[in-house]
Amino acid sequence: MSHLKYFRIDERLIHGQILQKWLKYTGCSNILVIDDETAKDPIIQSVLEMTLPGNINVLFLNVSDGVAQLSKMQEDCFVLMKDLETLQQVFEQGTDVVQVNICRLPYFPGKKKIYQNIFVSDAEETILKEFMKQKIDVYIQMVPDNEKIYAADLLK
Amino acid sequence: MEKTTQIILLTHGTWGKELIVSAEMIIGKISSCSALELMPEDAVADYMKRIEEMMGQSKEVLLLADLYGGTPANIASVYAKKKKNVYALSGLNLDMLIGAEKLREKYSGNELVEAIKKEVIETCKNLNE
Repeated sequence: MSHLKYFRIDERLIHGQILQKWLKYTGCSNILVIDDETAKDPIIQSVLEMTLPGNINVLFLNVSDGVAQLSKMQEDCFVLMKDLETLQQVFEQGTDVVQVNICRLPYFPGKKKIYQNIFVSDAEETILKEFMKQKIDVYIQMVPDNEKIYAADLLK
Repeated sequence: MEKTTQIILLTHGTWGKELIVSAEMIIGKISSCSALELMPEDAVADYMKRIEEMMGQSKEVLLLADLYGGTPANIASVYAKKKKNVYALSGLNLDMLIGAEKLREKYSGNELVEAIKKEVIETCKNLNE
């Protein structure tokens, strides 16, 4: 059986929702955080992994190392990224992406709201539409108990 | 009188502000204490900017965050590790706020954090016993 990669866009990376909900729901014991900034900041890494149970493995990698790691993973993996731009790079560098869970895209001036806690810039909207063209299932779901809201239905 | 340690509550949603109101019902006006809420739509960078603005030029800051492992506590921990005059605790509740207000008269820095922690742990009791 092939292993599953759960891609999630969540600006807060590892936090309560991940610990309390997603790890249990997916049964994943591997977390891969792909973020250039976090990959070079040991203090932020130490804080993010502070509350993880001992049976959970976590790696903090930049985009190119993350892509290399994904290509050799032999187990299910929960992949966290802060933004759509990072996922686009991961995808363009050859990672197979079938589904993407978006938790939130935070508000900045100039962004438009497409759903609760989901604000998109023009650049983000372009990425989302590109993903849809590539037949990637993009959905919004904060925690597993919420219904999946498909981006394709919001950006018709 | 200006207190040496400024208290900032970091919470999921707005209950930090209400907690200050509740604590003041019990011990009266608490000066040099404020709350910053993290809302679902907030960007982390923006929240951190608000925290930094509030910390301003304070000599010493005590961040009291709600959920251990949640984003407010994670941010508090980053500041505690990166800034010399910032201290932080997770597990915010009414006992913690009242304890912090009382203990900052006597302690500061890491001693203050340890004193609050010790006192708060003592207040979680099985009331059936």
